[in-house]
Amino acid sequence: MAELWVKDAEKWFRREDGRPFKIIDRLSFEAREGCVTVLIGPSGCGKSTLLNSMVGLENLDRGELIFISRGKPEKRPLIGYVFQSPRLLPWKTIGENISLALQGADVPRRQWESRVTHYLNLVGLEEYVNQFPLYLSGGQRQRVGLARALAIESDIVLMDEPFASVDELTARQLRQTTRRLCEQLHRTVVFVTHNLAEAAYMGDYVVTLTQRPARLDAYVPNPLPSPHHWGADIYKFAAELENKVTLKEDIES
Amino acid sequence: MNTLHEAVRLVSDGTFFFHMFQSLRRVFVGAVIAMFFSIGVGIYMGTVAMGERFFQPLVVLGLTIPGLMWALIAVMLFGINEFSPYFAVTVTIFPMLVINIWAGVKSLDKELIDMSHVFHFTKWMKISQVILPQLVPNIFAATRYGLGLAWKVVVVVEMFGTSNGVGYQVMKSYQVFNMEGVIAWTITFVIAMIVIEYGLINFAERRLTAWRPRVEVWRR
Repeated sequence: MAELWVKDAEKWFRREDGRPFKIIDRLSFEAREGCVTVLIGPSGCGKSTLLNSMVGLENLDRGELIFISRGKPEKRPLIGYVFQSPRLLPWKTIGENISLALQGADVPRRQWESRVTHYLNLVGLEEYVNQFPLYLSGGQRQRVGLARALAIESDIVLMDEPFASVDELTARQLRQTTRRLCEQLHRTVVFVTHNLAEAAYMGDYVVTLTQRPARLDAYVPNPLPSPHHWGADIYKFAAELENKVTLKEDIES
Repeated sequence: MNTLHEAVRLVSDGTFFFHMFQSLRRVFVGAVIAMFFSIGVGIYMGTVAMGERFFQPLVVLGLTIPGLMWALIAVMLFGINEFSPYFAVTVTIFPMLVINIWAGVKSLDKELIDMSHVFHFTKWMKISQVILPQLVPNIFAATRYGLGLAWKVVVVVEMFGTSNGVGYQVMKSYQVFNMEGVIAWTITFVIAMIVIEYGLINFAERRLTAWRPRVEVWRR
């Protein structure tokens, strides 16, 4: 099991005219072991940048990211990532897409088939193993992305607005599947969203961020008992969250 | 009618196959050498700014030199041997292969490359599973155009610098003013090219892009 600490993270970008601007400002929080920590904040406040820093796609200008796996700090641990768009290789079948992630994670070849079958089964797509991604719907592709992130069995899984590009009904199903799997598999999950109800449903802890540059606004434990059920309690907690968020622009209530 | 008889004779007595094989071999070897270097240079140009600055003028210069010039230069430089056609084909199609692969690399899907980084793909996995498959359409476009030019170049080199091949046979027929022979070789050569294009290249392209749903622009 693993946990993740973000300590005094700071990140700058440059505008086209060369002037620098700060996107993340002295941000600190903790993603607890085996829990889902939701990051919620306005669009463009630096949530995805922070996630990209966690997997080495960006470098922080100041501060640090500390990964602690089984009590020991790790430099660049294996991390599962569910992207906003599924990012599957269209020339590879669903099974091959997951197998490539397993190969990257140094999983022995003899385990690939059973892992692929197991995780596709968990997301309800086992019969699509030999299909190419372009023949699947958007929601199905997103589920394959989820299966790929879980199949490598990393201790930490990041999810960057994974259901933002699918319709609400599909998103609701996907949230249920994802939340159920998070509860079953006890992975440490950092989940980014700008939807309050989604944050209330998915999170064990909710970290609200300010508008750019992203600073810690509030760190709120979810009072609802697991397993979470989509209903009035979720909306009640979402309303509580809304009251805690200082800058409400661009946050979906 | 005489031309048709001549064409049938060339095919039935095996002369056509022998000389066609020689020409094919020269085009194939030259194209493989060009492909090998152009993939490396194209990827380098598309990913490293210094590589782009260094190779861009050379590639543009290479595109402006007609293939037939390379054919003559090759024969004059290397004489009558197998190296001349290989050299001429390679240097003729190299710039257009590079320019296509370079353009392909510049339009690579960055999101897929980021995904491969996140999932700890090795360098070889990134190249073979993520980058090269995206370049397949560019490689096929360049191959089609390049092969069209390579055939012309090989035929010219064979006319002056070899003792077999389709070009040599056309030249031999021309020297004895055998019009039927020239046209018969031209017709059989064109048929062979069509077979290669539709039988081989189209087949390979269909196999390699089977993952792509068919595009139906016009529906009834």
